[in-house]
Amino acid sequence: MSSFVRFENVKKVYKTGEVEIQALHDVSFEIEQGEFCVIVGASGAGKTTILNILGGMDTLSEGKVFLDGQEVSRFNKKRLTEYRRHDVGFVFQFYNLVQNLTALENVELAAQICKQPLPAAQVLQDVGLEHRLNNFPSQLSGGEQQRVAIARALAKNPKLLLCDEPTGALDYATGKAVLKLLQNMCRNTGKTVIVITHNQALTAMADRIITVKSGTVVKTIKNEKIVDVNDIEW
Amino acid sequence: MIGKSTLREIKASFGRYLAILAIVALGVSIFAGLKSTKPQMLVSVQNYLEEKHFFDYRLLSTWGFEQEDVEVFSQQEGVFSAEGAYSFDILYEDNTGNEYVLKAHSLTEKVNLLELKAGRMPDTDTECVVDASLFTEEQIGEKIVLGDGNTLEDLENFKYREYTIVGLVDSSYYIQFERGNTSLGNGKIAGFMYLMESGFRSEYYTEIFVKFQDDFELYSEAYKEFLEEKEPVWEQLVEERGDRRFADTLQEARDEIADARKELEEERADAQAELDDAKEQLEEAKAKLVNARKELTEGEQELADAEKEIAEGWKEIAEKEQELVEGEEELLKNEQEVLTMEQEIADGFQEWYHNEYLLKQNLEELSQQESQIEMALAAGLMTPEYAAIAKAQIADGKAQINAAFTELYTALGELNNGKNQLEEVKRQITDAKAEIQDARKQLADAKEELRKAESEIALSKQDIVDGWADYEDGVAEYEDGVAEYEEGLVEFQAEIADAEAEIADAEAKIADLEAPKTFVLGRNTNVGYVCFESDCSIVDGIANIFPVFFFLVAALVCMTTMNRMVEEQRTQIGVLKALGYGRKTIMFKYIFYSGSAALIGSVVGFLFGTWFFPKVIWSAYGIMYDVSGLEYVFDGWMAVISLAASLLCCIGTTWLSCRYELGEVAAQLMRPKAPKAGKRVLLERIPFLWNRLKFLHKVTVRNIFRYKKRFFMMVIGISGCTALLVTGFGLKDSVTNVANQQFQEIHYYDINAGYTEVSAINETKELAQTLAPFSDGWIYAAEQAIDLEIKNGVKTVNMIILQDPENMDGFLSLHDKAGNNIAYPGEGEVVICRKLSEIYGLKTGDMITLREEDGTVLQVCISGVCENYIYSYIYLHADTYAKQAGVIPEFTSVFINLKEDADAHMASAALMGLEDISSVTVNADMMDRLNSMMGSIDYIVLVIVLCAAALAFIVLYNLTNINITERIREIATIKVLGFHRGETAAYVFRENTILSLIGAGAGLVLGYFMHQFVMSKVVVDMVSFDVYIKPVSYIYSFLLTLIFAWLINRIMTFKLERVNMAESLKSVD
Repeated sequence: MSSFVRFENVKKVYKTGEVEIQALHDVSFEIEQGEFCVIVGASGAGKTTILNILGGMDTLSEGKVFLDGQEVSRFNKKRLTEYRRHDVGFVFQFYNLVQNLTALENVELAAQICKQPLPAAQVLQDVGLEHRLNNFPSQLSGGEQQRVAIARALAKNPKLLLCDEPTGALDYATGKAVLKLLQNMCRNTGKTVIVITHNQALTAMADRIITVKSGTVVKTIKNEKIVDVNDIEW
Repeated sequence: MIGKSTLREIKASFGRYLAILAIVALGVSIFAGLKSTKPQMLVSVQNYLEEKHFFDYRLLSTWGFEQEDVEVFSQQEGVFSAEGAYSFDILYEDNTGNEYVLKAHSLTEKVNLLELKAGRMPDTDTECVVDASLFTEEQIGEKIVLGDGNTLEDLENFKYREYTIVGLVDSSYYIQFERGNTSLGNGKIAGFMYLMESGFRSEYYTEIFVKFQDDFELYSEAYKEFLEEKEPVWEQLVEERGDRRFADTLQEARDEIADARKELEEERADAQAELDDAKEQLEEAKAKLVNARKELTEGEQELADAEKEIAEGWKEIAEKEQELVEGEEELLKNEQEVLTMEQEIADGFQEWYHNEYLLKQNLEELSQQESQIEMALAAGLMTPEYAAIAKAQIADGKAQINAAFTELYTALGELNNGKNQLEEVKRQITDAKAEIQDARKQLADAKEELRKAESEIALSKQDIVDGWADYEDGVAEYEDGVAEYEEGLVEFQAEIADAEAEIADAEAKIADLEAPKTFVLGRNTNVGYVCFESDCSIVDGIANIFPVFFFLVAALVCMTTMNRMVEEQRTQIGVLKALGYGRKTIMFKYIFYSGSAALIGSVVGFLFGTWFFPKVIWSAYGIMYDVSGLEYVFDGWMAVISLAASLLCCIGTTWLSCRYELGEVAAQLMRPKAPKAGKRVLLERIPFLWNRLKFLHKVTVRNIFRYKKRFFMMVIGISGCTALLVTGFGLKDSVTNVANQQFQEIHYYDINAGYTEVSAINETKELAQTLAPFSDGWIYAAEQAIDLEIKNGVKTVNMIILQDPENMDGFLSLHDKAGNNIAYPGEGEVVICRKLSEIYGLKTGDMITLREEDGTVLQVCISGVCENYIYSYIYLHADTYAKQAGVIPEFTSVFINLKEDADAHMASAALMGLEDISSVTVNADMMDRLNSMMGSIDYIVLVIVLCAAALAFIVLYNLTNINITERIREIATIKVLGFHRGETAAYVFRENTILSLIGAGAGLVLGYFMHQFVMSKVVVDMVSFDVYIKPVSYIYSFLLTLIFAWLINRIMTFKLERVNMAESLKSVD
């Protein structure tokens, strides 16, 4: 049985003028459905490129990427949009909420274009923001904003939740809470969650740890000894 | 390093840089372009006029000028040239039979020169050059035939009846298309022709053109002053010349009259002598006739006497004959008596013898009886007593017989006597017979004589009859003679009276003669020269509002752009500050950025604008003005002003934008600026509406109200674009509408036909026949040009007098601006057109004075002000004219309506075929011509549309650009969220669309006012514009604006597509 997510010898070369930069090379890994996976690596290691490719935001130069049996790497632009729309949920480091929309509206923004969205208010309640539905992002704290972002991603009812440094702009405690939320989501809903971080400490809470370095995957570990978020220190 | 960074900055954000540059270029080009149009046009025309030696003075005298005058004038101080010239209006009939009026000028050598467009100048006096705007090159070689419609008086001014066209020219005297008015034909001069001086046959120059040596700037104060200084001198000079001419002419005229008088006296004497002779002869003839009559009467009397005598003769003869016959009868009676007497005598004798016998017998018997008684006594038989008785008886018997015997014998004697007497009688009768015979003979002779006399009388009678005939003839002849004489006398008297009257007239005229009126006319009497100034001002008028607008937008564009730029570069500014760069240095970067854009923009805009706008506008004016190419004029001040304005505008706004950010400390700057908070807008307070909005729309609504500056920039920019379009289209509507409105709402009729003269109108039957297939009605009117007296001068207007105002419906409509009908003016009233009312401040109830060319003056009261678009019309009642001018107006114009399916040109051709119709104008043609003339406005509209498009593009591009860069994260995010291309675009551009809609809506209102303003600046003499914008123009403007917005959105979609989703991952910096 093939894995839920599979990278096969993925290579990505950026071309800027005459200069070619090899962002990724020989990237291969697999992630099972329902796993909480952390992709870890230093700045510039290529983890964001992986995220971009997996999230359908970028194309690759060589290799293959599969998600739930579909070859994402062969999708055209339009198909990629559909893919982003229905199959993937994003959580950004800087939340990327629409400033002009309330929390509820931000969730609805994503939900309204999906086939089977979850009720926005329900999702927000799930992330513990039932009392903040009608607040604008600027009226929310960072953690709250990130939770709205997570709710926005979840409301789409995606197959895969991609989180790019979800705690990067948050303080320690809030970051932990957000991570906890993500982990719970993974556990409770059985969604595959991929968190990208430079924070090695976070690997402890993951089902699978993929370490990226200098544009390639150096190590894929199936974590046998999962630590609760609350017990992780950094 | 800052410099380098700035250059890189420019390179990186070239679109933005270009936006500033473009809006500045646009603003400057429109400002400088429109502003320099007038000077450029002026200079071009000035150069043209200088080159052509356009006159300074046009001298006129009611008596004309002579060569001597010309010489005097040319010797005046400062005169470059003074030239005498002829100009006469004349009718010319073209190939199609249409009559036009041409103004024939004589060629001048040093003033008012011509520009040869085709062909060559005339070499002989039978050649001419003609108006290039009326004739075509194909017509070179054709002949201008001076039509039969001309009066002899007019034709006398020309040496020939036809002139060959050898070239086409533009005349500096006619720089504008207007050719002026005339008393001939339809009253309009269609074009000009130039002949050599010798092509005319006039005794005097009609005008003298004077050009001074100095040239001045057109319409300048200096020129006005120069002329003002000259004017009194020249006016006096011209008047003097006129007076001299007057004196000379007066003397000549007096001499002529004296001659005429002398001649008249001589002629009178001659004629009198002749008449006297005739009279004498007549008297003689009369005397002769009287004699003849006397003689004839006497002859007649004699004849009558003779006839009487003859008649008497005949009577005598008849009497004599009667006598003779009586005599003869007597004679015959006598003869009869004689015969009877002879018989009697013979019978007497016989009786006598018989009686004798008897007596003798009786005596015997008695004797026997006595014997027997004696015997018987004897015998005794008888008693003797008895016997005695018997014997006594016998004796008695015997005695008786004896007595008888004696008697018998006396009778015998008597018989013998009778016999003798008879014999005597017989002899007497014979004598008488002889006598009668003689008398008869005498009578026959007398008869013969009488007959002779009678025939003689008959002859004489004939003579007398002949004599009478002769006499009658003589009398008739005499009477003829008398009649002739009398006629001759009357004629003589009449002729003399005429001659005397003529002389008296001439004397009266001389007595009445006033010194010639002289005029010193300046250039301001030349239509082209005058109109050009006002036409130039139109452009200037527009130039005053448009640029302000563009500069405003430029400032806004610059401000928002720089604002955004500074915001984007907060961190960089912070870093620079942290590195120790001074505030000024950092400020310099941005000032340099916007300043260089403004500099380049204004230079480009200036060069382009001052080249492009004058050129386009000039080419539009070229339709009205025949002047050569446009001269480029570089106006340094304009350049400085443009540059200063644009620099001020850009640098000022940049400074305003930077000031705030630069005030902050470095650390603050390096921290990301909190994104502008989302805010509830007013609309949310209306849940009814708000809840109905999709929240994507809610974003849009919130965004729109989030950035006020941008909102205003957008609305101003877009509304400006729409307003420009509305103005442009409205300009076109107002201008092109002129012809349509004139001919579809006021002068409804389809054809205007002109009769040559009033008397010809009696041929209505002919007209009716001709028009029957085409027309369903026509009315007669009088049309003529008349001068309206205004404050300081006169204004020539077209006067229309309808013959039957009651029937004007369907031909003419007099209505006011609101469309309310105005009654046709009654007697003593006039309806004037709106333009006259507006320009000269005339209103209902005012009295105006109208003056005809011959001096007739009409005074009328304004009873209404009617709408009118082309030319200036006034309407009068026929009675007004009849009463005040003393003559019935000449209803020589026919306004004809056509049936719906009738072909106007067929009708026109049919009308032209009528002998007495001199001109036919089809209004549809007029409309087309005017429309095509007004087509020049299309250029201007096009320019405006282009400007509007440029404005919309720049504003929209700039705003969208800012919007996209500012919201790049948001856009990337929604892309990541899986928004489709279209959805993303809609998400971003919905704002643009809504703002465009708001802007366009506002622009419609703004456009309405801008149009009003621009139209109020546009004053053209010939037309009065209907300040009107078609509803469809609003729609076009609105749609065009949206199309521009849509195009921008399309273009920006590419930019949107290039937004990398990875942006969403970046931190806020």
